[in-house]
Amino acid sequence: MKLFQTVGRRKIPGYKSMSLERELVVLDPKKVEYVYFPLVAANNVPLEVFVKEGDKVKVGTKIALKQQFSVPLFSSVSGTVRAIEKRLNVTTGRPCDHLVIKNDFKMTKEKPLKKVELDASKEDIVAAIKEAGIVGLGGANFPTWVKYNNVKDIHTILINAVECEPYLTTDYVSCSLNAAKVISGARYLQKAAGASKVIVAIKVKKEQACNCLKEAAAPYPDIEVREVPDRYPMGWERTLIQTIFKKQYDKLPSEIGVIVNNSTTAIAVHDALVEGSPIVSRIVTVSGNAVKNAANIVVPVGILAETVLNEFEVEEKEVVLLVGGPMTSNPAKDVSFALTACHGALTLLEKVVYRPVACLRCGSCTAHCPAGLQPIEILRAFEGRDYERLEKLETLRCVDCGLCSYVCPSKIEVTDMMKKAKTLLRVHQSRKK
Amino acid sequence: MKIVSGNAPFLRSKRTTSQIMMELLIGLAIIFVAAVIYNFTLGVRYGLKTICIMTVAILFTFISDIIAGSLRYNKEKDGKFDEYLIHFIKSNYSVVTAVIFALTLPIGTPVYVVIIGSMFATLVVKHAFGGFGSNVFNPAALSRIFLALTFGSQLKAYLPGGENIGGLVAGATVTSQYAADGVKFLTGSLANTNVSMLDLYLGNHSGAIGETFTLLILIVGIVLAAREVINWRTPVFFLGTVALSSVFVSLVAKVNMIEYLLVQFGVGGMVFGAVFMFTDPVTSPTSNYGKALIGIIGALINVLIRIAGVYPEGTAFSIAFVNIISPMIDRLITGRTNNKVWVPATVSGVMVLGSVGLITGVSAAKMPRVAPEPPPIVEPFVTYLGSYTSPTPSEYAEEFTTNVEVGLSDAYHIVKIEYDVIANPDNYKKVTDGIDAVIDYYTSISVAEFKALPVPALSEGTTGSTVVGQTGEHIIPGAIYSSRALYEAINDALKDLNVYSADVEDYPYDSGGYSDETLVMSVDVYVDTVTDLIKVVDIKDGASTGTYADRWETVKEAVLSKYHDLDVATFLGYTNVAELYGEEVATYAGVTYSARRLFNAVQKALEGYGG
Repeated sequence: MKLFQTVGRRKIPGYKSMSLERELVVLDPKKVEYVYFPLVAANNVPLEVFVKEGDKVKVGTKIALKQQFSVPLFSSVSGTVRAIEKRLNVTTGRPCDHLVIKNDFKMTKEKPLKKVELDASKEDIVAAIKEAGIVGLGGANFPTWVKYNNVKDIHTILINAVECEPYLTTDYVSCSLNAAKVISGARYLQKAAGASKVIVAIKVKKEQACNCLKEAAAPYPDIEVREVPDRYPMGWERTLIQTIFKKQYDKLPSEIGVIVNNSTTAIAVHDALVEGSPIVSRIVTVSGNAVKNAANIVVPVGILAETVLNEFEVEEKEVVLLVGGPMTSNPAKDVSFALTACHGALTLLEKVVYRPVACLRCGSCTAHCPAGLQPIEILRAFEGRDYERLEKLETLRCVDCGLCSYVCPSKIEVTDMMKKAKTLLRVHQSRKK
Repeated sequence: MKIVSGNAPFLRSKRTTSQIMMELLIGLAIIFVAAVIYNFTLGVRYGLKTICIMTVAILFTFISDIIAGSLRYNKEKDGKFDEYLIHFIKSNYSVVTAVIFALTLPIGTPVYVVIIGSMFATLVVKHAFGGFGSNVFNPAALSRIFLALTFGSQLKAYLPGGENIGGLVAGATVTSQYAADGVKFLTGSLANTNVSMLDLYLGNHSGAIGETFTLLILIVGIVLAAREVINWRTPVFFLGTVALSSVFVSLVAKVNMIEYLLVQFGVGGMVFGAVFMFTDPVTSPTSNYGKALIGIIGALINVLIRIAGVYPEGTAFSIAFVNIISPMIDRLITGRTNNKVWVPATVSGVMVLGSVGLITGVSAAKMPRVAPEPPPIVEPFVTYLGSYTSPTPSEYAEEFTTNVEVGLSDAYHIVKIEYDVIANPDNYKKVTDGIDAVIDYYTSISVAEFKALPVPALSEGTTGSTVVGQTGEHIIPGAIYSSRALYEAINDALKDLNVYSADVEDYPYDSGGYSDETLVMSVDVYVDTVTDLIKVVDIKDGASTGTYADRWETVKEAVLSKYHDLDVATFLGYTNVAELYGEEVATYAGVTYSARRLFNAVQKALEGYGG
């Protein structure tokens, strides 16, 4: 209970046991006829494509490159390249070109990437991570090598196994199964940054994964497994660093000497640098109160959501299809989109209609904002188009965590209005320039 | 499955505004039920009147809602009228206002006043400002102020015929009674009322129907705060600042600190206001820091009104004031709430200290001032008159005659001097301070000491200046003629008195045996030389040993009175103590040695008198 500050977190229901009741499902490879890769990045810049229609590819063949930060894309199946198709790109919300690969079900592997030893130099490790196209697999999709490029004074690598979004258990399952890989990947990242220690953060309730990680980390005295309270949004960088290090930073955690990476990303680092394979498949949680047999499923990258959902029984109701968790994800229009490497979950929820009443001015949103903002005042300034006040209230620091709408007793769409306020402010600022 | 869209996030807390209002209503209902029960113990019509007030308030709030809804109804936009009206009434939560408002009224409020008040609260304070969520003022508080201003005399704490209920005199509330004598809340005492401290907290006294059961309100408040229905910061900072101020005010007013603190909390509607009216979320600032701030400011205003204001009860006014500044507080707080926490902490700390300081200062200023005691008028034991004609100083002044009246105590110390003229012309009397100092000096000495003073000498021909080398407290600086005139006049008054002094030394009897050290008794004997009578014996020192000092005090006057107007010759003829004191010597038991020593001393002093 804080006196004047924002509390910044709240206990929300987790619903995690739903997807853990069943065993990990491995999708029958025969069901994946095609895989799709979007050829336009999130900033609307097209990717450089290395293959053309008719080319034969293997598992792990480099097929495209994102210009910004040079992130390569690799094929997840072996087969033939088909014509480029337009499909819904769920990240941008609009259709765009997709590279289509027809699966020949042989899963022939490309020759592995160059393996890197742990005693290699910093620059070699970072280069290898870049070559392998490792991105933040917690959902951010940020190229990992950029975080480690030319960094100084880093003392800790923080491995984020918190997974605070309700319904999601993909990180939990992959940590439990591949704890050793997490630790191994973490050691590479530690070497890449020149850090002196590694902290693996996991929530208090996840005993199984925690124990596996502790076991795997036991031989290494500079790797510590730390348990953090079960609160939302503990998985957000700032909240996690505030909880563990009791420090705040302005823009990047490297300002206080910390680099954060998701645990599944650490596994990908191990896979790439030790076994030479890029990201070709991942565990996806399909859950939600509209899914009868929620479970985790191993799928190749580029699979259609449709194919995944065919494995599950969905209730005959109005549902919202979320790519990710219920708090931060935006709903998808239909099931025709393809999952990329960073999409770790499909959540289907029954649609609930909320009828908002007048704002009670209770201040709960302000009291719970993890970024310390005042949504109620921002909304007021937004309605009044008061740009100066919007800037003074530091509107652009909002990360859409969704806690403000969650706690609002009047069921006002606070997060939605925050997004609109941000858009408005950005447009205004770009116009001023 | 049918895929539809929506806005993130898709999980929502189960807490709704309706639920918050419902829990608030339950808390209020508990207090209302307790009030009804208490009023039924006072009499059936009291209980019924309580229920009547609540019912009327709720009913007319409902009617006001319908009026406001009808006025706002816009056929094109709002759909069907009855659906619209139902939603309007449900989403405005006016029933909470009605209940709070009813609980702030005393039992004797006439029904028409309740009607006017509840309609004012809902129509004017709430709907005229925009309905739920947009009202600037707390409707219950402002309406209560409105009633206090317009129907103040109607808000009685008793029903007709029941003036003495609740143990109070003529149906006053505890608040006004507490302050009955003198400055309210500073020198008032619970003893004025017939209400004990326990009664105060258990609601067994008269006041508004909802505000008296302090203990229950506190318990309900704690439960509501734990359930996040009200924010705990406002009442805690409010009551904390009140407590801190009360500590300092009790120090200024020199009353029992704990009792004063408990009374401050128990009396009046302060705790009720702190829990239910200050915490109204619509009229409070939205940030945690702002909520704490209005608690502090509200406490400052409330305690100030209690101590220094005219009205006996300040809570409603402080609520209205705090409501005014809430939007300003909101507006001033920008930036992130987890940055620079020392800023709100420092500001709040300074405000608390400032409030406490201000309240302490005001209460100190308001303390009833005790007028300084006039100096006791000493009646002289005997008065002598004298006069003196001053010689004419050349050129500057004229001859004048001074008449004095010298008053002496029964030990022949000068206690009073009155004079008429000590300068001519009068403008020489501009040295008044000097004159007063000399008079003060004269009235502090004995006649014997006076007679020992040197005469103020005049230098030939020079007016007013003092002879070089002449000092003495009986000389007025820069006014030698006046000094001389005064001296000579007093001297003339006392001319018939002669002083005879003596010291007698012996071993006193002390604590069961003769002491090893000697005790010296010194006396001044005043004899009127015209009548040859001993007037007074003044024992300057050594009257008795310490052990017997108290005993001596009780018999001193009887012993000394033996010497008043005693003929000298007769006295010198006594050879034996018993001849002077007579059979009463037995009453001097315990100090017979002192009496005997006195006899010896006076005998020694008057040796050779008349020779």
